[in-house]
Amino acid sequence: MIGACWKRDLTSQTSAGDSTPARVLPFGVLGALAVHSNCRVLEKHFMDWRESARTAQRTQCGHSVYWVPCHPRPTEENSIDTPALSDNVVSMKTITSRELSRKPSVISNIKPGEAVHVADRKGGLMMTRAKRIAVTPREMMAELGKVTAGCPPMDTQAFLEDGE
Amino acid sequence: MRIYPDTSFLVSLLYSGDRSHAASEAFFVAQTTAEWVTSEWLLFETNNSLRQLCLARNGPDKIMIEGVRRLFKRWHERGNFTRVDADMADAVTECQQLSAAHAIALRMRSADVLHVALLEQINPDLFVTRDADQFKLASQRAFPAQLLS
Repeated sequence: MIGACWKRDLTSQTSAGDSTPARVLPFGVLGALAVHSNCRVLEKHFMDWRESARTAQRTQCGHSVYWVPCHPRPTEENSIDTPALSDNVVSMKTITSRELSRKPSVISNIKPGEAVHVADRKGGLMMTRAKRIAVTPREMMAELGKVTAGCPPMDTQAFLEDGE
Repeated sequence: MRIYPDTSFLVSLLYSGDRSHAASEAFFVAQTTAEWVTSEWLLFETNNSLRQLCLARNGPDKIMIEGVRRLFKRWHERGNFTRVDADMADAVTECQQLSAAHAIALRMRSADVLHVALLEQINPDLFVTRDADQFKLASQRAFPAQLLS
């Protein structure tokens, strides 16, 4: 089913300069957005897409994936690093559409902040699952306090450097 | 702001029994909007160091350390930590350049040099460490760095 969605989506994608939002595909992944980092035109429309993503999440119980075309193929030089996206994208792996057909879990199991680039001759498509910061630093420290309650005091740096 | 911490800071932050934990926690909590960036190497070294603490006399319980590791991993999914990919081959090349330039003048442990080498790729807004040697090296390379004692 995912393979079919992928094929349909490939034929429906617009060119990199088009502002038409990408199609919403029911992949069962929360609030995922697809972006191409180094294309300024797509970057300009990113916020619009993010807004439409929120709408889609509300109407489709939070199970939506957004794909966008990726021209040209991402390289080390134009990999994702724009400030608007840096909190959303952790790492990116590149696979082929054939690999996607064989192993659809690559996308269905995508973790928050991870991105998958499905390459083809025209550059391919990229998708990512948005990372949501659900806890504040203070809440994180409260979580840590519960786990490490009663731990013995020590000078960790001195121990790790000198072996005590 | 993107902050890259080193292992000494993270161990101090994650192990609440550390004598500098309060200072690390205060710094961490004060950065309310910061994105904390980690690398594969940093995650390995931090987790390994946490486990090594179990070897200390009266050290922590290994189950508790495993709980800390899992919590830290969870923070990467729902907290303000983000793991970024880095090219380790490039990082080692950078290490060699750092060594050639500074090793006869500064104390440079090999594992620590790798963090400073990774800064070249990750390019954070701030590098945070508790290690004075790493602080000196990062400063020599003109990376904005903060030393927490």
